[in-house]
Amino acid sequence: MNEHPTESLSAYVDQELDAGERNRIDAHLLHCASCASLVDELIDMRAEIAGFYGQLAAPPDLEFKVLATLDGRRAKSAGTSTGLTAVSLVALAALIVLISMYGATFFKLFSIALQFSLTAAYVLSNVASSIPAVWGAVLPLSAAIFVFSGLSLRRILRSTAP
Amino acid sequence: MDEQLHRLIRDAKRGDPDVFAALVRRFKDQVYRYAYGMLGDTMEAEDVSQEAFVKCYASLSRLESEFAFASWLNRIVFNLCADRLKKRNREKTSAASASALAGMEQKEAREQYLSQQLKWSIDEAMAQLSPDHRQIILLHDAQGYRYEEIAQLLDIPVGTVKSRLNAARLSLRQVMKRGEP
Repeated sequence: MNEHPTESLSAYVDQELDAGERNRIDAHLLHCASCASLVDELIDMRAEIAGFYGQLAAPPDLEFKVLATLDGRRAKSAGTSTGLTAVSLVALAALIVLISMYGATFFKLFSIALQFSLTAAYVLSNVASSIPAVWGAVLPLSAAIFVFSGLSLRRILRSTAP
Repeated sequence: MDEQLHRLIRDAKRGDPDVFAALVRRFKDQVYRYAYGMLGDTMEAEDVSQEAFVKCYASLSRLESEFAFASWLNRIVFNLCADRLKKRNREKTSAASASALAGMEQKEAREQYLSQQLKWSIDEAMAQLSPDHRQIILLHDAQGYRYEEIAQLLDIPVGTVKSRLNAARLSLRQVMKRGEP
C-alpha cells in the first residue's frame, strides 16, 4: 500500500474495519511512521475525550427540578381546565336564563330560519340538478370541502393528543 | 439494554412521576454530557437537560419500543441543542452589527489568551468544530455508541458515520494544535 489510508485510520482505531481492510492497514503501519504516529494520536485523543466528558456529571438535583417543572405544568393545566369548566357553567346558566325569558321568540325565529333554509336548499338543489354545469361544479367543490374538513379534523386531533 | 431498565421505561410510560424520576437519575449524566458537549455551557446544558426530560415525559407514552428509548432521548437532546445553536447564531449576528468593535476586542483578547496556552483543551477545541462534527465525536467517544448504532440514530449510512467521524477527529486534532479547523 503506497497511499496513506488516512480516511480509514479513525475506523481502524475504533476497530470498525473488516478483517481484510484491517490487515492492509496493519501492513501499511509497519512501514509508515507518519500513519503510525497519527494512529497513536487518535487513540490518545479518543481517550482524552472520553476522560473529559466522562468526568462531567449532571447537577445532583436535576430530577427534582424536572419533577417540579412537571408538577407546575400539571397544576397550570388543572387550573386552566377548572377555569374552562367555570366559564362553561356560567355560559350554560346564562343560556338557560335567556331561554326562559325569550324562549318563545327564539323558537319563532328558529322556525322561520329553518323554513327559509329548507326552501333555499330545495331551490338550490333543483337549480343544480337542472343545469349540468352547476351540478358539475358543485360536486367537486363538495368533495373538496369534505376532504379538507377531514384533514383539518385529523390535524386538530393530533395536535391535542397528549 | 438490561431487563431492569426495560421494565423501568415500561413503568414510566404509565405516567408515574416517581418511576420517571428514577429514569431521569439513570440517564441524566448522559444527557447532560451530550448537551454540554454540543453547547459548551453548563447553564445551557442544565436547561436543555431539564427541557429534554420534560419533553420526554410528555411524549413517553407514544414511544413504541422501550429498546429505542436511549436513541430517542438523544434525538430530543440533539434537536433542543440545535435550536439553541440556531438561536445563538441569530443573536450573534444581530449583536455583531450593534457592537462590532467590542466583539473584535473580545475576539482579540480570546485569541491572545489561547495563543498563550500550549494547546487548546478538549473543551475549547470542540467548540470550534461544526455541530455535526461535535455530535459524532460525542456520540462515539463520550457516549460509547458503535458506528452501526450511530448510523441508526442519525439515519445516515455507516459509511457516512465512518467518514464524518474521521473528518471530525482530524479537524479536532488540527484545532488542538492551534490550527484552524
